[in-house]
Amino acid sequence: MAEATPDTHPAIGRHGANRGLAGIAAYARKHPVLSLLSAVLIGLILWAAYEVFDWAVLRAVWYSPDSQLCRVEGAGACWGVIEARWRIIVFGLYPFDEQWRSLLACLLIVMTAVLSCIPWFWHFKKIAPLWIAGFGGFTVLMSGGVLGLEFIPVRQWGGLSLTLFVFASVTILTMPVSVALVLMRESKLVLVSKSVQAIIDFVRSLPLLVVMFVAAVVLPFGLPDALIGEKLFRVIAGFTLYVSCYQAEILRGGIQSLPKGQGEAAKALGLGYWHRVSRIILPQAFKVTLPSTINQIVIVFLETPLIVIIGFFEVLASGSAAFGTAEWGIAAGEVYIFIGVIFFVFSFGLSRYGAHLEARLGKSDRR
Amino acid sequence: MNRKLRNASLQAAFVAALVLLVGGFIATARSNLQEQGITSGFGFLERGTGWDMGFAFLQVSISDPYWWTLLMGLINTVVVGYIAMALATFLGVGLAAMRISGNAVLDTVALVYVDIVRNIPPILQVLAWYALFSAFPAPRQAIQIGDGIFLSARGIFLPALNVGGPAIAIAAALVVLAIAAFLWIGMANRFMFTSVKRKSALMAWVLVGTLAALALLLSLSRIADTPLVSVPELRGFNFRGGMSVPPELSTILVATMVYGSAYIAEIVRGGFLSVERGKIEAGRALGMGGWMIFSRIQLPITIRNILPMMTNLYVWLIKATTLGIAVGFSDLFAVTVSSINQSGQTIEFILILATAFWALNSGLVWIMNGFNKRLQRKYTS
Repeated sequence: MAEATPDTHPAIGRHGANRGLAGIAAYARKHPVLSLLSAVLIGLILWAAYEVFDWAVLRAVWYSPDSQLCRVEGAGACWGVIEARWRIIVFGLYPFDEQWRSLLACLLIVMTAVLSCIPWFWHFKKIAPLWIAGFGGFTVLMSGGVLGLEFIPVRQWGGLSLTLFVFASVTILTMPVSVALVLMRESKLVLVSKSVQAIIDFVRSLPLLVVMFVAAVVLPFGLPDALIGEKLFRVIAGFTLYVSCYQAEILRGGIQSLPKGQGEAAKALGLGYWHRVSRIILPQAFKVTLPSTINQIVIVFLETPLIVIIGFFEVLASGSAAFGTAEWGIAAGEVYIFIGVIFFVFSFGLSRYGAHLEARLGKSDRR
Repeated sequence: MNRKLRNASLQAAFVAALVLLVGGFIATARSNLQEQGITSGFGFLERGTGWDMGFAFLQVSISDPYWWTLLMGLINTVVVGYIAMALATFLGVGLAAMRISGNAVLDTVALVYVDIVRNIPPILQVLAWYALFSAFPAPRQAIQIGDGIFLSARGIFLPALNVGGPAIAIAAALVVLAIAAFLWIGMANRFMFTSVKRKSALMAWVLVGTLAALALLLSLSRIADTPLVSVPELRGFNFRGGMSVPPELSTILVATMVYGSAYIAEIVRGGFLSVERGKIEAGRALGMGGWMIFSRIQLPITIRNILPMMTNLYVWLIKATTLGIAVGFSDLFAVTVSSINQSGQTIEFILILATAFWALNSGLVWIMNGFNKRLQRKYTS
């Protein structure tokens, strides 16, 4: 063969000598078009990076009690708006003097989430009390009415803590609901499994916004007065149903990926249905589907701010309120970037963690 | 026997409970709505709406009936959804190519893009794009690109052809048909043993035929006494002529494209990397070159691998166009919400909305499954 194969190419050499400048030169000779493209791209990136850095750091206004300093000709990013208005972004309409409770509640729920990423907690008897304590503490702190804390109705919750509350409630409720759905879906009773399958397919064909809208606006027409309840809780219920239908499909995939022998061996040992499901099938299905479950949780987190459209004062709405005054109207971009960064940090951290788990599970399977 | 009886009664109880739940809900809702003076039934669809829906591809006025307004909303959702899907696919495949190019710079750029886009809430992205598209200067100071493209806060203005509305629809249908014909000739079993030369000739005929039909259509449906191409021009405070893309439409198209492309890039990359090494080595052993291996081994297997995931993603993208309501784009959901607010026919409109989305998704799944079946048959036999 006239053409040299890659690993014996004279310019690259045999033993990984394709590093440093010589390696780059060799690469450029081999792929002229790609190299030109990447050179242009590097130039563009450097230029864009400088422009962004110049705007966001060099010319930025870090402190501006009113927006006057931001309106000076040539001023860059107006981070003063965050300094001046962060309380309304993070806490919304929560009473000013009680906002420490909202902050504490947010920290508590984030800490609970971080703790549940540690494998030591991965047992029903540890993770359930952890979340009951974390979520219970969150609710007590936010709503008060006990321990000498002033009572604050759900209608006054807002900002980041409302977003976190909805996210945490939906994630927690999804677990039991999706297990119930998948057990019915996999049931031997044909009518049960068919009708649950129809419900799952139907809900999955709807956009999340439609489900939320139905829960918020349509449900009250058809429910007896005693069951209508707070709009927020109806939306959480609708959101939970929607996510559970997806999660049920994920779990079903996990159950189907288990070797058939697992269930049959348990049956042969004389284990009853509940023992088989709770000791053999579900734990393994959970383990297999852990990475996709974490993906799903990330998606729930990113979809939570949709409740702003149904009329809740969550972090996007409180952000618009922060730049909604005549004074701060110029700083919409900065507020959006601030909120975007908050979401990015949580979401990116969680998805990296999911990728790490996937790699770990892959390794333990091969062993 | 006892067990059978128990199973039967359990199932009966389950179904009865479901029926009771749904039936009770509808009955309560009907009586509650009747108290407010709203009679159930679909007669209202013939009534005029009394409000304007904003952007639509065909004529809409405030005296149009509800069914027409709903249909326009549905068309908005379908057209925007499918265009966004196509754009997202192009961009996503390009990004995937960057990620697997083996070039560190391209790889990193694509990776950063994918990670940023996938970790910021879609609704925030929609709002940010809208802020960008409405931050363009007023029409008088519009940014001009080339001769006929203007970016302004009132929308993006592009040159357009001076032909009648129906002709555009027919032309679009012709183009879709031509693409379908290409795919059919390329993939159908009927042409499996046809020589490449003959297939190319067939495709060339399709191309020539389509172009001829398009030219004929254009010349027949030209609006009399106007130039063929209408270029937008500033007259007073706004542009005349050409075609305008309002900021709401640009927002929802760009946001869906960007968001979808990041996911598509990951799907395509995953599918490409999951092609077994053995198959590539087998190709090399047979003396295939790099392009041959790519086009005959890696690409077909990748497409087969990713089709089910792409179906899910497309379904998800078409549902994601409902986010347009946040910026005032009149998709089916937005039109339904306005209709409910105006007419109070809550249950009926929700039924229509749910049915429409179910039909949209089923149609999409049906198309994708059709492709899937063809591919499976072609490459596994």
